[in-house]
Amino acid sequence: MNAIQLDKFNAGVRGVPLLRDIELTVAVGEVLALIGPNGAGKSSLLKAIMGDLSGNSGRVRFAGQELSNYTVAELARQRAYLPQSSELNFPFEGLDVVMLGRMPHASGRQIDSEIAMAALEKMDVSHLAYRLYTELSGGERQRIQLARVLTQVWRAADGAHRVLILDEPCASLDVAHTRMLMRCLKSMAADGVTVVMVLHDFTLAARYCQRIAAMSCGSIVAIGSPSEVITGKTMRDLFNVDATILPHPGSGYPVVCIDD
Amino acid sequence: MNVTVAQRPTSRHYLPARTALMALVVLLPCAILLAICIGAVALPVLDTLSALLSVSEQGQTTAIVLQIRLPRALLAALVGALLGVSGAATQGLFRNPLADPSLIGVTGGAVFGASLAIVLGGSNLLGFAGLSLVAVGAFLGGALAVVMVYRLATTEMGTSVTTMLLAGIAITALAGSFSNFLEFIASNEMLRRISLWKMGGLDGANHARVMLAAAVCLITMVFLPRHAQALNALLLGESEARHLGIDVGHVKRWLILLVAAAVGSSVALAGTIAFVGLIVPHIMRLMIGPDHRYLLWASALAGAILLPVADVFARVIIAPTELPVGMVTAAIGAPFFILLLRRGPKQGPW
Repeated sequence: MNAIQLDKFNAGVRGVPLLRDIELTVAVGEVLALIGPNGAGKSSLLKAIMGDLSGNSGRVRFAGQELSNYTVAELARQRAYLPQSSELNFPFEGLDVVMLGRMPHASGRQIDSEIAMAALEKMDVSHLAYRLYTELSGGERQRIQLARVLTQVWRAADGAHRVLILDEPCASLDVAHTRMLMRCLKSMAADGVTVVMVLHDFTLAARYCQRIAAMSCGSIVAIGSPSEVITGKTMRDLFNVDATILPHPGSGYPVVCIDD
Repeated sequence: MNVTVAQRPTSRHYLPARTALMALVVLLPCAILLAICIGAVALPVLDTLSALLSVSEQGQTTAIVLQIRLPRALLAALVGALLGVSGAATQGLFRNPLADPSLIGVTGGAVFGASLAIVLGGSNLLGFAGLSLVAVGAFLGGALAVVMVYRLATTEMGTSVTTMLLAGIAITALAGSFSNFLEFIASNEMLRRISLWKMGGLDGANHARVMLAAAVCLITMVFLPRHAQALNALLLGESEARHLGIDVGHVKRWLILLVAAAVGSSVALAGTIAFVGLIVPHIMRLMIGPDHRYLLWASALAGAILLPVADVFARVIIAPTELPVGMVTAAIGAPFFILLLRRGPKQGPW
C-alpha cells in the first residue's frame, strides 16, 4: 500500500492554477524530495497532501483511503507537518512547544515528556528545553519546531502509517545540523516513517532521498531516482542554470556544480 | 528508549502555575472582604465577617454588608473574572498578546445599544431580572455586533481571525458613529447618563445582577477551559492546530460565542470597563507563561481580584462621591499598556 497517493489532482486560487494534473505515489518508508524554482507549487503540493489545499478535481489518498474518510484526530496521530515558517509569537519554553506535538496522542504525561526530551536531544536542542522560544535564533526555533513534528510521529505505536511532511526543513540550519536532520529522517524512514520534503540543495537531496520529484509551474516534470532527475537538463529546464553534474568520488551520488 | 526524565526543573521564567493558582484562590476572598470593609463607612473586619456569617443580627452593619457592599463586591469579582478570562481567550484566538475582547466589536455594539436605550427608552422602569432597559440594550447591541463581525469574516473557506479583527474595527467604527449621532441628538440629561454609563460602574449592583453574572461566569468557566489545549495549539497557527488534531472551525465558533456572551453580559451589567481584559491576561502570562490550561483560570481569578480592589479606589478616592470604576481601571491600565507597547510583544517577559 502507498502511504500517499494523488490522482489527477488540480488546484487553483481565483482561476490561477497552483497544481496541474498531479500524479504522485509515495511508498511507505520512502524519503521523497521535491525540488523546483520558487513558485513551482512545492508548498502547494505539500498542502494538498495534508488536505489544507482543496482541489478542483482529483483525489488525495492517505494509506489507501481518501482524506475525508478520516477524522482530524486520526490524521493528526499519523501525520506531522512542518510549514515553511511559524507564527508562534508567545513565550512558551522550548519543551512546551515540543510537547504540543504529543497533543493528538493519549500516551500520558510521563511518556510524552520522555519522547519530547528525546526529540529535543535528537535535534541537538536539549539545552533549549527551558529557554523561551521567542528569544531563540531562527535556526534554533527551526530545530525546536522539527523536534515538535518528530515528537508527533515518534513511536511506531503512535500510528499505523506515520508520515512527515516538511516544507524546507533545512532552510535555516547549518551544515552540521542539516546532516543531523537528514540522518535522523533516514533512520526514521527505515523504521517505517514516510517522508516528503521540499529541499533546495540538490546534492543533499541526491545523497539522502530515494526519489526526487522536480516541479515547475504546478506540475511534476520529472520524478525518479536522484541520478535520473539530477541532470544538467533538469537544471536547465527548471532553473535556466547551466550546471555540471559530477559523481561524488566516494559514493557516486550526483553532485551539482553551477557553471557560470 | 532509555531516556530518563528528571522531574521538571523549576522554570527560570515562570512561577509554578499550580502554586500561583493557589495563591490567587487565597487572595480572592481577601479582595472581596477588603471591598466589603472599605468604603464611605469603614467597617471593622470582624463585624463584617460576623455580618456575613450570621444573618440573625439586624444592625446597620449587617444591612450595609448584605444589601450594599456584598452584592457590589461579588458583582465586581464576577465581572472581573469574565473580562479576565475573555481577554485570555481572545489573545490566544487572535494569536496576539495585545488583543482585547472589545476587538470583536462587542463593546462598540454594546455602547450603541445602551445609548439607543437611553435616548429612546429614557427611564429605568422597563427591564427584567434586575436589569434595566439600558443593560438589555447593551447586551443586544453587543451580541448583534459580534454576529455581524463573525458573518463578515466567515466564508466557505472558514472564519479568518485576521478578517475578524478588521471587521471588528469596522463594526466598532460604525457603531461609534451611530452612538455619536445619538449623543448629538440627545438631551443634556440623556447625554450625562450615556457618558456615565460608558465609564462603567458597579453602583447598579443588586442580588439579581449578581445571580445573572454568576450564571454567565459558571457557564463560561465550565466551557472555556475545555478549549485550553486547542488555544495552545492555535498559537502555532491554524493549519498547525488542525494537524495536531484540533477541529479549528468548531473551536473558533465556541470561543467567539463564549467570549461574546461573557463580555456582552459584563458590559450589560457594569458598563464598559477598560483594560481589565487586556492587562490581566498579559500580567498572568508574564507570571506563569502562556499555557492556557493555567492561564484561563489565572486570568479569571486575577480579574476577580483586581476589579473589587479597583472599585475600592473608585469609592474612596473622593468619597463620598463614587468614581466610575472604568475610569480607575483605565487610569491604572493605560500607563501599563504604554509600557507593554514600548517593550514590544516579541520581547520575553520581564
